[in-house]
Formats: sequence, structure tokens, C-alpha cells
Amino acid sequence: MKKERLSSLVILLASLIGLLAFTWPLFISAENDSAARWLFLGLMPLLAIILIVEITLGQLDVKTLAFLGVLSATGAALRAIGAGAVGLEPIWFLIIIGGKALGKRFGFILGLTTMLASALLTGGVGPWLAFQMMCAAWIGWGAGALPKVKESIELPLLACYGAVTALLFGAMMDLQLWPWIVSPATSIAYLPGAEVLDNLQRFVLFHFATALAWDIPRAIFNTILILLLGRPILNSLRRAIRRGNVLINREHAREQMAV
Amino acid sequence: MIRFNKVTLVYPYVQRTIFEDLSFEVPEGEFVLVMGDTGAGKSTLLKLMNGLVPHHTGGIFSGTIMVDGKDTALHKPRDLVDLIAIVGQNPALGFVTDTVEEELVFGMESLGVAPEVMRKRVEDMLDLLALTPLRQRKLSSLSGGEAQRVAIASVLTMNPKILLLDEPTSALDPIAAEEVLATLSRLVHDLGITVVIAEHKLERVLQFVDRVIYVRNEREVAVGFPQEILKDSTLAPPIVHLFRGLASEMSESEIPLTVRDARRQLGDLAAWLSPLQRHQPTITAEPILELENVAVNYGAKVALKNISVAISPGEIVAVMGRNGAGKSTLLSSIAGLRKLERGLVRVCGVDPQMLKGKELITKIGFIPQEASDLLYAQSVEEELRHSDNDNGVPSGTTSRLLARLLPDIDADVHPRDLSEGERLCLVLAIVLANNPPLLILDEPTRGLDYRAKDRLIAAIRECRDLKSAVIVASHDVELIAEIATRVIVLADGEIVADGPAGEILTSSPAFAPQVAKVLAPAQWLTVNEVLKSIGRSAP
Amino acid sequence: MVDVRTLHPLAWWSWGISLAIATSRAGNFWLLGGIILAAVIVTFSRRSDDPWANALSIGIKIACIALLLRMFIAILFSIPEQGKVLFTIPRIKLPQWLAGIFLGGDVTQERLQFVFLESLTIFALVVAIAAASSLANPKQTLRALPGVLHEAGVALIIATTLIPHFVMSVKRIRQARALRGDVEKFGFKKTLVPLFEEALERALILAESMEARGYGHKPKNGNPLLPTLAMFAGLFALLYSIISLVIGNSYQISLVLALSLIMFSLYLGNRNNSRTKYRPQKWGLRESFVLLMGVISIAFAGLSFTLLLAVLLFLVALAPIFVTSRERVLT
Repeated sequence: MKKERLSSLVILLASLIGLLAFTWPLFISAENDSAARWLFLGLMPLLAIILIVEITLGQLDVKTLAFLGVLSATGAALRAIGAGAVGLEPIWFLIIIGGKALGKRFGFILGLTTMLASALLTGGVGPWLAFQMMCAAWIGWGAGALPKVKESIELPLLACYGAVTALLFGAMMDLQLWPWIVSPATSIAYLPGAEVLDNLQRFVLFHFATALAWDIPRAIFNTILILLLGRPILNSLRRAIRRGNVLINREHAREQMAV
Repeated sequence: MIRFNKVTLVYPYVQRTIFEDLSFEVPEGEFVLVMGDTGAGKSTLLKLMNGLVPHHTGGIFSGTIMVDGKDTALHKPRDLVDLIAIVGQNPALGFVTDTVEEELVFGMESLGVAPEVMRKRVEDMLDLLALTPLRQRKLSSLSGGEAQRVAIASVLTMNPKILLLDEPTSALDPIAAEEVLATLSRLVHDLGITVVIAEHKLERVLQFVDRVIYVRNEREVAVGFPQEILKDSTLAPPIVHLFRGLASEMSESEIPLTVRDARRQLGDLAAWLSPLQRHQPTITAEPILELENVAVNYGAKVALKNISVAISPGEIVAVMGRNGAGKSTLLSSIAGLRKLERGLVRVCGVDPQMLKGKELITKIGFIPQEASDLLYAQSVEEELRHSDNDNGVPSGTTSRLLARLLPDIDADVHPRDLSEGERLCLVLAIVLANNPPLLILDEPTRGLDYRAKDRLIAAIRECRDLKSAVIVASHDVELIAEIATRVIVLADGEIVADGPAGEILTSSPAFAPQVAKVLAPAQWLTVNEVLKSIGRSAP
Repeated sequence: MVDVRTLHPLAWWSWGISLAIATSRAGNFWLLGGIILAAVIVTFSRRSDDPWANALSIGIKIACIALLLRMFIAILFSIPEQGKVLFTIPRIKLPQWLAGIFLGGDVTQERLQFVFLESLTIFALVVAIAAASSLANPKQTLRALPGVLHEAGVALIIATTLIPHFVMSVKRIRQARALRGDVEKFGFKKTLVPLFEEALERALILAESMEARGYGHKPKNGNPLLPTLAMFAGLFALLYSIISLVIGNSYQISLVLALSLIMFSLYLGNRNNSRTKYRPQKWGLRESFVLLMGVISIAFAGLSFTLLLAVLLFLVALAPIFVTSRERVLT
């Protein structure tokens, strides 16, 4: 129990540092600007490894591990057959539903491994990978942390979550890309040492200028997919989980027999 | 070796007692067969032995199971691997890695076995199971029999004393099945391992086993020598049925379990029987299906070549051949799913590749190997509604069909929770709703017990009576002997034999049913035929 | 199992990462060009036919898009400055609330050169990483990972093994759809629901098979709390270091402390692992050579530019080609 809590703290801390790795351009001081660029780029893969180790080491039972492997494979397979064109990737649907059905901790690691597996297999490995993994992990965690609601509004809630996270993911990936894709001497680049709000305004302009065309379709796609498929797939997952319940209790067995 | 004491198992979610108050014992160093109907819980019994049930699958359990003096309730399966090992029903689905050698060491690596020891054991296992030529192969490229042997090797590396196998031959062709069973028999005789297998193709295994566990129902399990158990079991291979049917003619009372014993006891029967009269249906109608010189390639590999066949209404054609001979390719080419390299396929005079949607299903009913691929609804009822819709038939048609095939089915059940046999009936009902003139079934009997098989046979015969043509690809010799009017044998993508079932089945040792083997050279195929000819009813 | 001609996957990664670090230090067109060229030559002459071998082609595409996009943004949003004006884009008036943002204007030669060089750095970075991921077999990489990553490694091994199966399953299910008379083009529901059911069933079977083969069997050794504790301390130090960095203080000492604590934690976790490895791929002379060349390329990239240096850097980056031959695929 104690170990569990401590490792949750580690995950929180690593996530916090991860968040800084996305947002540093907004409030970086002028002195350490270029150091920050490279440092965060190098730190991110390390953070991803730390997270994977912390979640998996000795705490993953066989069944969870098998679910993880199989769900990651499904996600990556869907990506590989091109079920999604530009940005329309069913992978998000999978991470959200998986997180919802199996809980936040599972959602977190599912995000990490799904992204990694599909990148390894389809050749999408690059400096951006660790950033994508981190985002996916947060999204999976969030899906698991959504409040339990009545069945009738469960899907609409998930669909909203899917839409919001799609937009957020786009923004985060842009944020991560910002210092790399925008040359410093332009009017939409970040200014080291400037006010956060000022930088934020510049970022918003960059974000709208470049990526909105991808994010809105992705959000719509997520929503549709969740509304259309969420129910049957959630049911399948829950049925599968239920089949793994263990009860070894001699007294209980007798009672059950009597009934 | 394995002792059950008052074992009771309940699955809380299905509200069904699986076993109640079971007590029996399995002796050491024997080849043991677990037999029983599909629903009787053969697999569950095996999994109880090594603790996967209930440790892994859940359920409410009481009683004690001792394996070599260890209580399985107190030890997880993972801690018993050096004592008792299990190979699942479809071993290919349980592979974790992707090459043969890596798969063999997976267990040992988790156990922390020293590298030198691992190296040695891997070599031993490769030799023992004749896997050396396959050591670097990808697991996905293995045939069914090879995969089964790799799965066996991957658990034997941990030196267990007991080996459990769940239907090790059900997906295999007769030749590969023979190989696997011979290997298992060697493990029992040479290494002294206790082997327990669950199997419903009794005709394949009985000749190897020393002892039988017969699961009659949830509270009754009989353990005994094969002769004792098979004297009055409802489940029995064809030779036993034949023997029982002729019991009064026999002076000896020992039940024959092998073809050799049966030939000794019944050998002169063939001469004594009235000559065989099987009426071959006379084909008058125009053929429904014509293939002319068809060739199909997968990349550089030739899958089919020079296939020319015509099939008419009222025929039931069996397609046989080893795994990989091209059976599935042939069937899917007929349904228009493959690009032809050369040649022509005509179904009712039309190229099936041109058929789409409703046109396709009114002409061809196709049941693929994974029948459940056709199902996607959340309940049987919803599935039936979709089917009426897709087929464009009045609502309730599919449901009525299903009721005939399977009288007592709960319409609210999730299709995936049905048993294999029930699911096949559901798919059959959906496919037959439109009464297609051509019905194609790819390996329909996997996982079916005798009762489900009887239902399937009835459905196929009914189709034939409605003037449809039926094509079945199967390894199940006994099923084919029962229904087929004509047999096509494929090897290496070519037709090597095509003719009346009686002729083809009796002429090839691998595909001959048991009755034919016993009464050769006469062309008898089934117990029913023999008994009918002497005026007896079937048992 | 291990082809003698292939390099240890971690050696390929050390090479790729070294080149990536080298690009961050090389602020010169010729040096960057040398690194890119070497990476491309090595990859295209040594990669296998496996799907991941495509990574470099994909990487180059992404890098080209990034380069063009970056140039485009730089030209369009450039801040007016001194220099030789090449051409002028008409100015667009932006609304009041976007004051301070320029759109269009003069484009100078100095500016273009500067932007191009910067973009090339990013291009080289992407290419270096993509080259390593084309060459290192991911499955062997996973097998070569230290014990702390073993469980995640198994999940990924399962995933990478199953992906081709599932791609096949999707095709098979689509065929089944057609056979049931379905003419819908995508039919997400009718494809994905059976795929999921199959996948989940498979997960349960896999879990059973792993359980029955002793997976997860572990003797308790070491203190399970210690690695986590060390990790917590390490991350705390890292956070402190990063905050110092962001607000402009010195951060180096705390960073070194943080990284050592993290490494210590990973080391402890690794020691607690009791699994063994069957015929691990050996780290031989060739691997050490490649690693050494990687380190040298980092050192060279930081020197001031001469033509000789560019040639040397190119040769050093090309090093793996001299000790390997083409990667072979298992059949």
C-alpha cells in the first residue's frame, strides 16, 4: 500500500516535469534558452522510461499485462491499416475506452505503450515520440478518472472528453513543436524572458495558423467513434474483465450451492 | 498423482454449477483421456488440475485438489510449472514471442533458470520433439501440428511431471494429429510423464490411452480402463458403435479399441454382409457452380492451379487435403474473394466477383472458418433482426430457422457467450435465411460435440433436399463419411482425386473413416450403413 | 537466432543518438550535411525489409515537411531587420489586438540563410533518430533492454507480435462482412466489434498461457521500496533543477545530482530482477567501435569548421557501414 502511494507520487512528479517540458517556452528566462531546448528534448525520453518502470515494475499482474499488449496491438494495427487518414486515428478512441473500462492507472500505461508500439512498428520514431507518449498517458489516465455516471450519460460524457482531449492534444503537440518549427526571429515565436501572457498570445496565433485544420476533424472523429462504438466495446471489455474475477472461499461456495 | 476430493465449482456470473462434489484420482505415468460432451467441462477439469481454475478464470471453488502432494488452492499455477503444465486448445493463440526458440525459453527466463541450463534444455527439447529444423522459424509460419509440438516443447522445458493438453488434435488434419499423438505417447513411455488430454475425436486417441476419465455430468465422473468405460458410454468412436450394434453376433465380449483389434474380431463380417448398395444421386440439373482452369497465386507462391470442377444442385461435396493444400483458398475463390490468376468461376452463370451485397447472399451462403466474424451485435435477438434486414426477408424468418436448429436458445445472450456449436447454428440460420442455392462451409466442426454435429448434419441434408449444392471443407473424416456424396482431394493446390465419396474415402489411408478401415476392401463408410444393411437400427 | 552480421540493436541506437547530439552542436551547413548524408547512406545500405525499416523514409518526409513549414513561417512572419533584401511580400494589416505581430514584409538573404541552417539542424536530428529506428530491430531492442523494463518489454513484444495478426484479422473480418452481404465501405462498427472481441479473447488466452508457464513467478529479493524512494528523490531534484533553469539560475549541479539518483534507482530496480536471458546478443568489438565513433562524432561536431573536419565527421558518422552487412530478415 505504502509502495503504491509512493509510486503514485513519483508518477505525479514525473508528469509535472513532463508538463514543464511542454510549456517551458512560455516562461523561459533569456539566459538559459538554448540549454532548455536541448535539455527538455533529452529529458523527455528519460521521463517516459521512468514512468514505464514505475508503473510496471512488480505491480502488473499477468492479465493486465496481456490486456496491455493486446490493446496496444489493436491500436497500432488500426493505425497500420490506415483506418485513419490525417490525424483521424482510432488510437485515441482505444486509449479513452481502455482507460475508462480498466481504470486510470491502466489508462496511463496504455497510453504510453500504445503510442510506443505503433511508432516502433510503423516507423514513427522521432524526437516527438516521448511527447506523444506523455500526452497519450494523460489522456488515458483522465478517461479512467472520469466520474462514474448513469449509463445513459456515460457515452455522451466520454464523447465530450474525446473531443476536448483531441483539441488539447493538438495544442500540446504544437506547443512541443513550437520552439523547433518556428524560427526565433519571427513574430509568432516565443520570446525568452517575455511575459507569459505575451508568449501565450504568440503561441495561440501559431496554433491557429498551423494546426487547427487537423485538430477539429480529429475531435469530431473521436466524438463520432465514441458515440458509435463506445457501448459495444465498453461492454466487451467489461465482460472480459468480469471473467477474471477470483473467489476462493469454501464457505461462500457452500452458500452459493444452497441458493 | 492428481487427487480430487469433493471438488465443487460455481461460476458466479453464469449462475451454473460446473462440478459438484467430484472425487477421483489420476495415477502416475499414464496416458489419460478426458472425454465428455462439449459443455460437460472437459477444459475446466484440466484447468482445475493445474489451478488455472479458479486462480485465473475466477469462480467459486470448494474442496481440495492435490497434485503430487501440493494443494492447488494454496499455490498459483505459475508456482507449479515445474510440476504440472498445460497446453491450451489453440496453442498458436497462446504464443507470446515470435520465433520458435524464443518461445521455448519464455518460461525458463521468467523462472530465472541459469543460461547454460536453458541452452541445454532447449537442445534436448528440440531433439525430443523433432523441432530442430524449425528452431529459427517464425511462429506464424508454422502449420497446426508444428505449432502444437512447439507449444508442448515450450512447457516441457520446465521439466513438469504432468502434462495437460486441451484438444490437441481438434484443428489438425489426420496425419498431423497422428504425429502429435505419437509424440505424446513417447513422452509417457520414455520419460514417464503423466499425460492428460481432453479430446472429442475419440477415434483418433483411444488406441493410445491407458485410462479414461469420463465426465458424464456435473456430479458424475467415471475413471477406468478404456474397455470398461466404453462398454456403455454414450460417446464412442465408430468401431465401438459398430461392435455394439453387432454385439449379439460376436462371441468375444472385449470391446475393440483399435482398427487392428476390430479387424481381428469383425474381419469376416465384410464377407458376411450383403453386398453394398449405395445409390449415387443421379445428377440431371444444370451445374450451379463451374470452375474452369482456375489458378490463384499469393505473391510468388502458387495456391491453386488447374482447378476445373462443376457442381450441381443436390450434391454435397467434401473438399479434403492436408493443412495448406489450398482448401480455404478454393472456397474463397468460389465466393469471389480471391483475385484469379487465370480461369473462370461461375456461380449460377455469374462471376461471383461481380456480386455484391444482397445479390451475393441470395446466391452464395458462406460460413468462414471463424464463424463468429459474421457476428457483431450485442445479443442474439439483435443479430437475428440484423439478419432479417440484411437478407431482406420478412422479420422473424431467421429466428424461426434458428428455432429449428436450436430449439431452446436464450435470445438475450451475447453471441460470444454461446458455445461454439450454438454459435455455428446462429451463423447457419443467418446464412440460410435467404435459402442460397450454394452453401459453403469451411471447417465447420471445430469444437463441436456429437450432438452439435448431428444438428449440423441435419441442416446440411435439409439444404440438399431444397436443391442447393453444398461444399464442405473439413478434416473430420467421420463427418464427411456421413454426409458427402462426392469428395475432392486437394494436394499442393491441385485436385488429385475427385469422385463418389465411397470410392475416394476408402482408397486413401489418411482419409478413410474407421468403418472403412475395418471392413476394407468393401466400401462401407458409416456404422449406420452397415447396420441398416442387416436390418438393424442405429444405436 | 541472432544473425552474426547484425549489430547489437543498442549499438545502432547509440550511433543514432550520438549523431543526434552531434547535430545539436554542429552549427555549420557542411557538418550537418555530412551527418545527414552518412546516416542516409548507412541506413539505406544496411536496413532489412521489415516494416520498421521504413522509418527513415517516413522520417525524411516528416523532416522535409518540417523544414519547408519552418521556412514558410519564417518568411511569412519575419520581423523586419537589416540586410540584403531579396524580395518583399505585401504587408497584411492585422487587427488591433494582434499588435506586435507582423505578416509579410521584406525578406533578407541573411535571414533566409540563418533560418535554413537552423531548419537543417532539425532535419538532421529527425534523420538521425529515424535512421537508428530503421536499423535496430525493435524486437531485439526489447529483448536487449535491462531487467527493469522487462515487463513493459513483454507487453510490447506481445503487441509487436500481434500487430500483423490483427491486420490479417481486419482483412478477414472485412471479407466476412462482404459475405454477409454488407456493402458499407467502412463499417467501423461491424469491423471493430468483432476485432475487439477477438483481441480480448486472445488477451485472456495469452494471460493463461503466460501464467501456466511461470510468468510472474518471483522470489522476493531486495527492498522493493528503495528504488521508488530513490526515484522520488531524483525526480524532486530534477524538478528543482528545472525550475532553476527556467528562472535563469544555475542548474548544473542539481541536474547531475538528479540524474545520478535516477540512475541509481534504475540500477536498484534492475538488481531486484531475478530473470535470466537466453543467449543474449553479445556486445562485441564492432559494437564498441560503433559506440566510440559515435562519441568521436559528438566531439568533432563541436570543433570550429574546416573542410578536413567535415570530411572526417562524415567518415566517422559512416563508421557502422565498415563493420556490418545488410540486415537479414528471419523467415
